[in-house]
Amino acid sequence: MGVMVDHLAAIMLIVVTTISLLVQVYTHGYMREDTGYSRFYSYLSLFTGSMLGLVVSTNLFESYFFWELVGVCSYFLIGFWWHKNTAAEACMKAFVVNRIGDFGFLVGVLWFLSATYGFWNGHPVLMFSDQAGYDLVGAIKWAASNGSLTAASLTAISVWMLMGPMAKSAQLPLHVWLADAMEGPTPISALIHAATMVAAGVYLIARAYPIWLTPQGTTDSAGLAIVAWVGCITAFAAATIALTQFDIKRVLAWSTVSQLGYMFCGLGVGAYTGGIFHLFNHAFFKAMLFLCSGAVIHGLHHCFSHDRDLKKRLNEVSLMDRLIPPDQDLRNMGGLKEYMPITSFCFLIGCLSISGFPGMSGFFSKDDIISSAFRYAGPGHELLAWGLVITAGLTAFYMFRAYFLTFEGKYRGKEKPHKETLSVMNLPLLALVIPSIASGYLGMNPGMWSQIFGGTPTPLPNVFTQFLHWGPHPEFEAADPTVMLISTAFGLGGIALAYMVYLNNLGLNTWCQNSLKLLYQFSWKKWYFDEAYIWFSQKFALPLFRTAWNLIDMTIVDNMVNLSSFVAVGSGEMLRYSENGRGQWYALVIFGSVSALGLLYFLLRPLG
Amino acid sequence: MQSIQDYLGAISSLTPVICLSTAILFTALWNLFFPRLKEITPIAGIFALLFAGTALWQQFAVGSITLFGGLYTVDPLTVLFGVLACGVGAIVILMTMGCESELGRNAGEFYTLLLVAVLAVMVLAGTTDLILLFIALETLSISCVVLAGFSKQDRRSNEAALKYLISTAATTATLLYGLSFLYGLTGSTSYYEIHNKIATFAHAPSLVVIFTMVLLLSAVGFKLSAVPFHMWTPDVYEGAPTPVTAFLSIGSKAGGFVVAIRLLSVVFASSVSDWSFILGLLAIASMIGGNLIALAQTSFKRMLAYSSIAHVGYILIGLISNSLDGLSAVSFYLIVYGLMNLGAFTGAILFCNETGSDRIDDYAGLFKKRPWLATGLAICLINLAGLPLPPAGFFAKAFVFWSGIQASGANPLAWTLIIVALLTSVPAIYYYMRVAIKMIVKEPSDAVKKLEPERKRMVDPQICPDVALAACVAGIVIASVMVNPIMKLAKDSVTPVTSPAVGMLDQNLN
Repeated sequence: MGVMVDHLAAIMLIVVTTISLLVQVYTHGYMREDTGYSRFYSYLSLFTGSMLGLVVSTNLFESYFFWELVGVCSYFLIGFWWHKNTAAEACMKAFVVNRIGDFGFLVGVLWFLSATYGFWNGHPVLMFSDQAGYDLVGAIKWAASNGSLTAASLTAISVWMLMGPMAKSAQLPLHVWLADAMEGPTPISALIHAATMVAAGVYLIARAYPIWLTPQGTTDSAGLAIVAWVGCITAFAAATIALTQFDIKRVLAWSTVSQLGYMFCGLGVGAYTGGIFHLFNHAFFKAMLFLCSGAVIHGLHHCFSHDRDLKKRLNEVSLMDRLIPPDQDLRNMGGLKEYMPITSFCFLIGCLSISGFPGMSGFFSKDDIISSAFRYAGPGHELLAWGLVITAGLTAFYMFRAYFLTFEGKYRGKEKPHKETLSVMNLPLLALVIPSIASGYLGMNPGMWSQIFGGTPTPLPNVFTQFLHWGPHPEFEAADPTVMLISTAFGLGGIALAYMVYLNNLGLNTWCQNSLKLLYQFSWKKWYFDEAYIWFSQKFALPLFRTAWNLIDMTIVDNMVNLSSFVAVGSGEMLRYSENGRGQWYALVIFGSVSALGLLYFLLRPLG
Repeated sequence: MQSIQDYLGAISSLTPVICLSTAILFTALWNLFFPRLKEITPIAGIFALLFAGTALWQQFAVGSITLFGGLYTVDPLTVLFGVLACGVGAIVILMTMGCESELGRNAGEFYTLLLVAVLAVMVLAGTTDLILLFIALETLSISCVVLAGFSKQDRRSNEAALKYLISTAATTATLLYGLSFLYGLTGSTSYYEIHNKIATFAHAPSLVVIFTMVLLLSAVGFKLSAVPFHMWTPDVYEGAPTPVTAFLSIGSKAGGFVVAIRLLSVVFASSVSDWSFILGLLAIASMIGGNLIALAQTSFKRMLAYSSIAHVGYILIGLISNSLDGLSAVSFYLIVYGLMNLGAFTGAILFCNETGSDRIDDYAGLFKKRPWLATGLAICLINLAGLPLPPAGFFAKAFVFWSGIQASGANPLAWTLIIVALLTSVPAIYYYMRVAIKMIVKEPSDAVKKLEPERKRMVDPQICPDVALAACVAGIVIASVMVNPIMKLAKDSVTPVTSPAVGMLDQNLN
């Protein structure tokens, strides 16, 4: 155990403490009327503490410990409204999926430990970094030189270990829990399931980066290629799913999955700084977007709270046939700009940022990742990069779809919402506007603009890269106007399309629903992952477990336990009756024992 | 005894013993003359014990002094076991103060006899002569017999006293028989001289030496209630008043252990392999017998009685390994075991005072009515089971087992002992935890349901047993935190009796 604050940890500390503080403030407004107000705050503090512990961990085992702690906090908080059936099922789902991931993670860690065991030699094991060189880098070098670790086995270890981050950061195919995690209260969605905990997977990969590199420490490894591909596929898949969702929180959740995919892909293509930079920027604007959605839900809540039947049904329905609560349904919103100007403004800033609108924070980090992907030399890099670019376009589309459906146009509900007044819930939103725009400029050099418009491309230093980089020296890059232009064009295109469809009544969406029914259903049903998992577990996994259970537990273990207890209790009873309570007998036993002991000693004595 | 100065010096070294003797006389006579102020008696007893303990403690740093021509030795071992006896005595008096009504008009005599028993243990700890050994042992036995039969109206108590008397008589016979052989062989009653004599023919132990050893071990085994000399234990433990049982389970056992340490490690130091084999058999039998019979008990006190047999088996492992580590593990175990066992008995007294029941099933749901009592009792039981919560009981077991493993080179039985100890620890966890879990998790039993709501604290006859339980739990927690200092203390206390120092004692004598 220990505490380590280096530049990577410092960045995470900024993210976690800032957002945690703002969410705590926000919660006071959001949860004020909830009966679990104080319980909520205690979970919130437990989570923040665990997350900070994870950030400052010095070695993999300590990380694992806090990793599990944040996981259990997430479980508590998703199931915070446990009386809602969907919430109870969702927290169980999150827990089970994370168990699967953490199992792989543990296997990876233990395998790595056993391969490098001789190296640590009394030093604390699995340290991330150490002045004397007793850290992951040194261990891999040592193990590679004496043959206990080959490139192939390191790749295998990294794949096992990747399962942990994949589950925690909701990457395909372990992504299924994150959207359902939105059953928890909205502040939690902002803090845990958008900004901090789900980014822990990305953080862990960055923290234990050497494991994903080649044994020689270069970035052209199979481990990283897998990370990149997982990230890219997730980014694309989640973006396509987000296109058709109607629950405002689910749209944001799927966009989180998609953006986490970007970060994975960034780390995977060797853009260490870029991946973390996106994590940093994303945390602020995504937390803000979630808090905005919370404000909307809070504002609309009273408009739909009269329908007791519906409320009852919402509480009882199971996760698979979940109904969208009316106060979260985009179809019931519209025109809220008029009633909630502050929220609408903040949401717009968030949408611009996540869409990579030039000058907003998301633009800089996303561009960094995409241009790194174009430069990447690994397998299928063209496809990877174009996947990200297309995803950027989709992102812009679905985010502005959500924005237009919520805040623009005409209000589609029956009862009008109240006019928004500046409250304790708005302050964090406004505070988050600043980093949502400004944090991107940490990764920018003013000379960039002149380069784009006709200067010579030379590498330019910037603050963020100088602060955080992999390897001894920061690698600065020249701005690449082509890539920037392409991704910006896709982003603007997405926004324009959303405007056409949702404000100008272009009949594209009805056309899609009718003519591309299959594709539409595919997106609406979230690529049928849940159905596939349920089919698999009911057809194969559960019957298998049941057989194993019958075989091992019922017949072997139970009988062994019964037998041993029978022997123990039986012999106890027998011995009990050797005591017949007669004094003479006692004296006789004493004398008898003395002679017996003497005799026994002569028969058995050790030295003959 | 060369001069009057030496004599006076010896007397001053005996301050604790003299202090206790004074207290014995005081408690015996006070109620006779001032029957209205009889509440003072136990308090005076406690103060005398505390004073004697403190006075003893002063002697810890003094080193080894032999008094009266080798009759009595004051060394750290004497001090440690003397202080242990005083502590046990004080806690037993505290728990007795809650059930004085049971003792009737004779409460004063009860404390007198208890102090006599403590005094006997204290003297046993320092005795290095066969004569004094016999006298102290008999004093202890007789006072315990009378204590066991103290509830005169209770048939079971009378029965207990009689059985204890018969068994004691039997082992007194074997002990005396053994002592007479020993004297006949060596022509001396002093431990040190016998040690030297026996060392001369240790290489070829004759029939007589071995038979002597078996006879002596039978007496020690009886005091320790090791199987097969345990037959009296359950009857006496169940019949005797509970405070007496508590004292028997740890006070008189501590006496037995210190005698065993001195006799075996000093007198028979040269024939280790012989006695360690015999003791090994006793230990195995005790661990198996004690744990298995305890498993089938329905009465809480009887369960504690049988489990104390099992604990003796564990402690014997440390004694058998006969090393500095082993003997200090024995001391450590006895300190911790004393605390947790007294705590468990105090819990039984508190429960019995209120419900009149001793059945394990009646303890169910106690936590709901008496959370503090249930928590304290549960901590004692968890430690008795050897689970690390807090880890005092766990450490005690671990130290003993570890010393046994270290000694495995010298002793052919060592691995058998360890394996039996580990295996029998499993039922021990079961029967202790069964009570703890019943108290905390289960629904209240009928007896518990009838309990009044929590009592008002200050005006309460139960306050003294409460203090005793709190003291035991606090002691367990302190022992868990301060494992190292206590272990160092235990090491210091047994250093003089481990082999190299014996020669030094010899020189002292001359």
